[in-house]
Amino acid sequence: MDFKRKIETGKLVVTTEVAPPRGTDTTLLIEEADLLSGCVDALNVSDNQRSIMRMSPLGVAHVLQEQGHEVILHTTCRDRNRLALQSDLLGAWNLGVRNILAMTGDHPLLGDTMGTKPVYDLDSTQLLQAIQNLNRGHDIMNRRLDGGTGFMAGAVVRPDPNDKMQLLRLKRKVSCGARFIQTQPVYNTEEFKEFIEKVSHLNTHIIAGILPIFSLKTVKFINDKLPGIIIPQEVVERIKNSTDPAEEGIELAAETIKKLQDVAGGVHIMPIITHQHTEAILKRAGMLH
Amino acid sequence: MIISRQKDLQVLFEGLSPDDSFFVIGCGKCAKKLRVGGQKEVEEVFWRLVDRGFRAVGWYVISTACSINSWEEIASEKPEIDDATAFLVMACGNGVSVINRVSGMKAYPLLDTTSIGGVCDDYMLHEQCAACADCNIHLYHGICPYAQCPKGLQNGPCGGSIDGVCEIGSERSCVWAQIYEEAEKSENLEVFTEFHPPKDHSKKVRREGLIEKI
Repeated sequence: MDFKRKIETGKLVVTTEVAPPRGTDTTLLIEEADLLSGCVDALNVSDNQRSIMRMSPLGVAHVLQEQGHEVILHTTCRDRNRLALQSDLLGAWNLGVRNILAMTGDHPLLGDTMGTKPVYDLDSTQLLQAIQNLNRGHDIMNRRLDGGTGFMAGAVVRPDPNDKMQLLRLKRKVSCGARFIQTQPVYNTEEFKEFIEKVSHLNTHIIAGILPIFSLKTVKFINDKLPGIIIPQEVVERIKNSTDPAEEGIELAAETIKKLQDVAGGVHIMPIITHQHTEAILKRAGMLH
Repeated sequence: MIISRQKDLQVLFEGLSPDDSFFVIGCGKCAKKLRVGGQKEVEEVFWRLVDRGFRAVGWYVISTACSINSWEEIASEKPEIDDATAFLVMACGNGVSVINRVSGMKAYPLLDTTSIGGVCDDYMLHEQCAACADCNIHLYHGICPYAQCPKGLQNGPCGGSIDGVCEIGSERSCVWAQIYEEAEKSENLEVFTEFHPPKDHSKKVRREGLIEKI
């Protein structure tokens, strides 16, 4: 059953994320994706994540689909205006991409290419609405197209039950067509449950983000580069005191997944560098049989 | 008010030709108020030119650099202006452009224009207006997100807005947090529940390059 069908029928999904290469060599990308064969429903392909220049996610999606993987194409509003976004989406559909994750995109000031002009002609809700139009066979100006798309569109959220603005924004994303939502990493499962209670009335499929921590270096990376994500001290202590931090990281991630299985519509695994432990995490969490 | 800031004069001076004769021009409106183009700053630049060995023939603060009816009037106030071969202008880009147009002289900008803003209680307010030619600021409780959000978002904050702080720097507050505060105060969260369609940029583009009779 493909990702779209699973979302439509309310099944538990497992997604994960791969980063496009910083160059043309796709060897490592394919090796990483191969580690995930049979473990996950779809691979997210990021779009110049954190504004760091990498291969176009559309090019990567094509490579991965050729290898038999289903992808969720990240589409951000940072680098393309409404003309380019729509035409890329039409191209993506013709290349076989069926799932889109619509995002505003990190500001270029956070990235590696100084002096970049930010675009943001649309925001993520406007992009979601444009995708709805394409799905109806119309462009953003409501003109009929010669063949439309049938994308499964999704969006992202920081699952903070106390951030009223983000909750309102999530509601609007859903009303603009986000049929699945992938969240930022979850460490505090009680807080996540509170978040789910607050958004349970929304007609969408919420997939909890899991960012496994295999070392104190990962803790430092999250604290320095990913603002808003708070790692509980207990988690840091367990990694710190472990003789095998990688094994402890697998256990921690699996424990989190088990606690989330009944509340979330799935999990989205996004380790920082490699997927070498992703299968082990899913097995430990009972998500693979 | 047009917000400008002074360029690095050291770098600017390195690009000037020693064969030119310079006349420094300030602006009595925004640049003066922001203390980047009033008499004090203009005189300072004049004397720095002299110290650096450049030929500096004079200085003058025009009442409004972007609104000049007669260049002859200005030239008659400061006859030494005729000895200049280049102007150094301490005004916003509008001022430099108008001075260039009315004088027909080479004009170097000494300021970088950053935004349309204001001054309130001695504080400079940056980016209050993006001159989008499609104003709907009333929908946002008097705070324009198109001008003040680094991404110009019109449908609420991005995910980088955390605890009221903007993703591009901890010293910047998220404009959407301010809008939310105002919306809560007025018990009207409509701006967060209504969908705002993409902006019509054609309204702005249509006026570029036009010269219209007032």
